[in-house]
Amino acid sequence: MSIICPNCNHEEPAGALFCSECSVKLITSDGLSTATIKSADPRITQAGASPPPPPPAQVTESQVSLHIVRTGQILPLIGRLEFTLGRISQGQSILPDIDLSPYNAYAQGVSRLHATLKLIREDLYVEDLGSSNGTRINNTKIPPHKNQPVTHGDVITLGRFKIQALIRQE
Amino acid sequence: MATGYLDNYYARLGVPRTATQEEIRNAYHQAARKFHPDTNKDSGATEVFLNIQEAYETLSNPTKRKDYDNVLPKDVTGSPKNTLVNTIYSRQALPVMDSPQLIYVMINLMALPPGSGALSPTTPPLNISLVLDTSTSMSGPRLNSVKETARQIIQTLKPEDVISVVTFNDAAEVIIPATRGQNINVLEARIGIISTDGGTEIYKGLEAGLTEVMRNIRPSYHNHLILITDGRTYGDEEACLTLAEQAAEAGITIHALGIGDKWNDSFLDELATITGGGSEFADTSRGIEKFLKDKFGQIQDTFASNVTLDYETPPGVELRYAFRLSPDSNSIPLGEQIALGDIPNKHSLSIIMEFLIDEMKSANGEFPLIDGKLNLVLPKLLIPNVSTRLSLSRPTTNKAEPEPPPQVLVRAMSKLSLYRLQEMAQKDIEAGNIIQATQRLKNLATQLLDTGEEELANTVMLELNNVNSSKAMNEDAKKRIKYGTRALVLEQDTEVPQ
Repeated sequence: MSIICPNCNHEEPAGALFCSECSVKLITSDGLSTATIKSADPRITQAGASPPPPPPAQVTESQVSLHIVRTGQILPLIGRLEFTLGRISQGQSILPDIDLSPYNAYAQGVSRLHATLKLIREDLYVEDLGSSNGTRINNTKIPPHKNQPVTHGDVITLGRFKIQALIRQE
Repeated sequence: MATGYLDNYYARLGVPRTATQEEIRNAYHQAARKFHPDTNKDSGATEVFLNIQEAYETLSNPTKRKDYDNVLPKDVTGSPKNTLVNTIYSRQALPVMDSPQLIYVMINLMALPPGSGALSPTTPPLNISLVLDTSTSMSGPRLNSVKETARQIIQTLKPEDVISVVTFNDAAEVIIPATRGQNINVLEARIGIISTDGGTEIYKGLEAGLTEVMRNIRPSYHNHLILITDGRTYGDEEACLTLAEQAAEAGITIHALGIGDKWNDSFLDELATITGGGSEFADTSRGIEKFLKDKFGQIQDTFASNVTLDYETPPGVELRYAFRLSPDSNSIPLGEQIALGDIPNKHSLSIIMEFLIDEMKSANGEFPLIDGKLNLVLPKLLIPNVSTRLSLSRPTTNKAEPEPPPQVLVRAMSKLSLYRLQEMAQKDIEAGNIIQATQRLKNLATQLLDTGEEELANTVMLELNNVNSSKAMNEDAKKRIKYGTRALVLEQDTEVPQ
């Protein structure tokens, strides 16, 4: 029942809130906590000599991944069928499943609860949660509170924040 | 339902178990006003408020109160005198699990608003010794700002306050023997004659300073020693720590300030924290001034001092880590008795504890985490020494817990985990695990950048290369990183005004 850190693969006892190796916030065993994605800052990869940690082992298990266009990072979506995207700010009571604030999401116009990604059967959908700056699929604005299908390679834009959907082809 | 020796509904409202309905209502109104989320923006105020609400809902209803009293252990007396206790757990229940699990507990101890108990209205006098390093390296701006600030502080002393000033280099000199603040001009003139010479022998200064505090020591005073140094003491560190233990027993708290990059931070940290105090770092005249003024302010604002905890954990439970989040941020050394620090009048004394539980075989009622005795000294009480039983426990459960941990704990741990990462990197370097250390520092830099701490992140990144090539950390950078990450833990509580 221990927790494997999604960032560095370190094993932590159940109930841990942050990884003791890399300080990344942990998705606890109940799967309800918010995952903060670690940004691979080029300034850091240049400093120091030892190699970066291996990618998380779970990557292969996920059917859908998100490609953060600005940083080139791949974020696998695992463990559930729905993920809310947004950013965390002070005093917020409902938290998104995926926190984009490390990516300057506020400046990019991402709302606190911006959109939901849903896996219905084998298909991926996105629903805009009534965000301030709207959601686009391949640059076409979608109406709020409606499921819109997403296919492999589509670029979803939250405000001005671009992510590309990667769906594993069976 | 909270039925522990520290976390119970009476303690949350700060009333004794024998309180009348009217007393309960008054205490609730005062506490609710203080912690209402609309007026109190302190981190954790909302959680505290909710805990208070829960307590009042039960205690204000005579039937519910009776049912509650029936399950509350007979010897629970309610809140320790004039102190409000609020406990926040990272998990509402402990799930059955055959592998180890962690639980975090935040304990907030607060002074009750005035008027809700028989407290003497007078401010307890200070009994402080200033112990100043006057080795050659202190000469110039460092000593000048210490002297200037000391003069300003002396101006603010009340006639009943007791102050002494001791300087040390190769030997100690009592510049001002323990004196009441009646003849301020004479005291100021004495500060003026302080000059520098020789090396740094902390033991001599510490011993002389403690002797001065001991002359007037009593529980109704604020008994403290403030040590300022910029150097490393050689050969007498063990003896200093023994002195600090004696100081702690006598009820004297040591606060330490290190200036520049030559002093030994782990030594000063240990010296101060075993007495319930802490160490800080300054590299500018402004930093020195701020430290001294803040410390005096903090000491004057103390409600309860020398808060200590004598404790035992049941088999299979380990208290792994304790850290003071407020009023200052310092790690707390663990032992049979641990010194938690002081409870200020306005803010809270907040401690976060990490418990590791080996395995949870079956869901069986309340699972004890810790049992012990909380000791406080309330200088304003006729009999200042107060002790109360403390126990923490959690219900056990068969199902995986659905609720996420309270945000206040997550926020505190997010900052604290950066400080701990730095701590572990230091240990790696000491043990020669350079690869491990650089990996941790790299992770630390990433997290710091993510939280917008560019400057500190840059310091860490520069140091990465240094650690790789020289297998050691630059003394200055080491302190900047340590005290820099530690300051982040405190920031969230001080950013917002009361």
